[in-house]
Amino acid sequence: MGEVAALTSAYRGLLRVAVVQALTYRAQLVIWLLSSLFPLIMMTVWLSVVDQSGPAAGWDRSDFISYYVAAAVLFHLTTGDLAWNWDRDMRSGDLSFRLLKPVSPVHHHLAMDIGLVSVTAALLVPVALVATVVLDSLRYPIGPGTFVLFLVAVVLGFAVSFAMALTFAMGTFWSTQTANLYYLWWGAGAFLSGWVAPVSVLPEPLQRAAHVLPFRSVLGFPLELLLGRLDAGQIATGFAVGLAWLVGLIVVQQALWHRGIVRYQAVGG
Amino acid sequence: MSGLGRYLRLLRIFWANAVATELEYRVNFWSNAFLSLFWLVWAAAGIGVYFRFTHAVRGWTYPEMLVVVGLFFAINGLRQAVITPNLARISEYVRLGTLDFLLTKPVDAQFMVSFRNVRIYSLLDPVLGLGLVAAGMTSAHRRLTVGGAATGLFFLACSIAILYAVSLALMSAGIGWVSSEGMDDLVQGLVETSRLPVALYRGVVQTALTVVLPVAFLTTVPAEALLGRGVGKAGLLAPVVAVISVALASAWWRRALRSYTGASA
Amino acid sequence: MIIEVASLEKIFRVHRRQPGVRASLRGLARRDYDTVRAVEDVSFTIEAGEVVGFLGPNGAGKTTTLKCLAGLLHPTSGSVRVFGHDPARRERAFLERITLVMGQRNQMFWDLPAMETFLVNQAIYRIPEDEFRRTLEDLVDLLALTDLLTKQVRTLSLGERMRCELAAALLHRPAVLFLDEPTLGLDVNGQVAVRSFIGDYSRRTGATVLLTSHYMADVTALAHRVLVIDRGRLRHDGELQALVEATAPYRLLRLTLSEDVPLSALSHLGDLDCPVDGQSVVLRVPRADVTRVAAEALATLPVADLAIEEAPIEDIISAVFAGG
Repeated sequence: MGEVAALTSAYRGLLRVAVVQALTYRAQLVIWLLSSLFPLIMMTVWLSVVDQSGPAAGWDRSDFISYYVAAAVLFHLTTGDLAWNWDRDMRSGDLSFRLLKPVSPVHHHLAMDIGLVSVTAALLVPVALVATVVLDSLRYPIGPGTFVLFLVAVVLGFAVSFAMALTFAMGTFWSTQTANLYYLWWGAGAFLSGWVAPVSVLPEPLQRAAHVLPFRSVLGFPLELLLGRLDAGQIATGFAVGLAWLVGLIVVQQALWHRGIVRYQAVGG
Repeated sequence: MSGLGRYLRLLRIFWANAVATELEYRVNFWSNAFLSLFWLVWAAAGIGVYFRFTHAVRGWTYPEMLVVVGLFFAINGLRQAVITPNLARISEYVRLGTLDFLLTKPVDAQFMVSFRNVRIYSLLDPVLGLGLVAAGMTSAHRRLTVGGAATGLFFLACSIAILYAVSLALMSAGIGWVSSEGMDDLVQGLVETSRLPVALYRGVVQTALTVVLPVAFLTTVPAEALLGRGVGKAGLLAPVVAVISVALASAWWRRALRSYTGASA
Repeated sequence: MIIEVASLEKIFRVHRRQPGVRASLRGLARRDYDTVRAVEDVSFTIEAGEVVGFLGPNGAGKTTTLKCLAGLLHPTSGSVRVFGHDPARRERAFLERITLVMGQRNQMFWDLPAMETFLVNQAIYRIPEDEFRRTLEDLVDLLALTDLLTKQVRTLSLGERMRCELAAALLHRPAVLFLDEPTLGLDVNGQVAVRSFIGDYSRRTGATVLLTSHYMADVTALAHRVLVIDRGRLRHDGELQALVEATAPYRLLRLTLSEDVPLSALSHLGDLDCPVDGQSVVLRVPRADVTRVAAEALATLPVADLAIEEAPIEDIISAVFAGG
């Protein structure tokens, strides 16, 4: 009980400063938003492909446009800065200071990521909403029920993405190469998450892998929900896979955290 | 000693230092080398998805597109190796007064500011990138003719010159007017769009990338030359754009320097 | 008893690496380790309200001991208790009552005004609003922060930042302060400001303070008791004055002369501490004789300026080490 009250209090303060901080780094924010260029580049090529050879795996012009525009926005709602921030904390020794606070560093970083995501969401979502209303090509044919499910899937995607980054971040207790390792993981995942292309246009073996690995929960699954391409069974499976990974990652992360702290205390902060 | 010799010697000293420092951390080196290779494969595989559904996109087959991706890696690697570590520091030079020291040295300040630092890991990217170019050429069944190689290298030189001019212009801005942090990301954004042949972009975007921003000259034109696809009007324009942009950037640099010394005097 | 340290020992394994490419390559496969005993068999206790100075050269084990006390390091053997807690377990009740300040390290939000860090700390330490306001007012007053609160931390000078850093570290009114080189790198004014603040603070709140510093003045001004650590071992635990008198039974008399004086006129006053530099002379004078010798020098020599100084901390410490 006291623990909950303490966390609530800490989050109030941390979220506030996270938002202030995100707004302070305006230039970085704009650059961060520039990474949305990549899906739009991918999209233009698909449009050329569709113009030449007809729909690809059942995806037509408007499908690709709807998918990639949503992907450009959703990427910023489910992806934070944790891997990078944690690595920096470790190198600079700031982790020592965070460990002296009565609130775990994990909460500090979670609050920072939520702050970043909230600010980008506040900038991007209104633009996306207006674009959806104005542009004919953007079609998200779902009812309010599925839309609520979509929102839940976005939160789950954020959680899975954070848990992946956090689990890798624990590696910093043992190795200085952890950030690079995470980039590899993320890079491999970019194919299976739907960042490079919708999962259903990938070769069959990759599709099968994508449906059991955690990456699709972060991007592809919520996007397919939003495009109304999933039936009830697929939706249930998607949530189940995401939740299972979330729980699994948290278990692994907790185990690593406790060992990592002992190691950190053994070798020096 | 002749001017050029002295600059080459300086460059060797600067860079030998960087090499020694970074090789100290061998794990870092191998890890970065592996990461470079990984991103190369990643980029090649990424565009491969399109070719499950078509043989060629706007006249570019998969092997031909790999040539562009390889060149993109080469250019981007040079950017990360030479431009990034220098460009990002301009603001720091001004803040800490390092620029004043540089200006009192009997060496061209533009040279010092542009080439003092190097990130050697990234020099692997051009090597890997050119490897991909070779692979793309082979599987496109294009024999590399002497003429093709010569024109290809010529246009690649133009492309590097243009990129250097862009970064020098930004450095000049960094001295006088704006913070240089984040500028490298702008250059990256520009270079990033050269991942694909400009023909794949459409409408206004394509026009903008050719006319307003010199993206077409970065990878598309050299790739067309290497592939012997006839570079057209863009081929004539490339050296002109290169010369003009370097000249403009240098002029702007000198102007920025004048206003800097005027302001701080 | 607030702090109890018994037979504390901390051993690090460090990777030994020869220079050269071949050695680096070999290092990838097989690593040689050296064992470093950072702290060995250190025991002491500290009562509530004490201000204790840690002295010792770089690498002596001061910071290691401090980190063990703050819970950042796990002792290899021996026990550490702070308020009866094992610090390494990092329990909330423990963390809420301590604070750690490290000189030249920054724990504030770099690009935001200091006030933002204060507000975050308020939330993290669950400080009620009215108490927060009161404490903040006090700290702003004592540390002269009024104009600094709304400036971005990175634009502050080192001294200004250190004052903000102290305020951020003390908002939750910790009962124990661990201060690692809090005046490092500050100019003389900055040192005096920080020093007098720490003294005031411990007197007003009864907080226990553990302080490491290179500057003798920090320690003389604040601590009555010093712990001298060298190569991981505790060499002295007791009153500062006793340490200074026992190990440096002389003081330094610095004379600036207005004209040259033969050496013979000086040598009967005391030992020359260093070669005569122009007309500036430093003499070692037994502690008891300082007043008499100073008077004699003023009477018999063309003195332009005269100062009596304690021997530098390095000398006192090396005397302790030579004796230990």
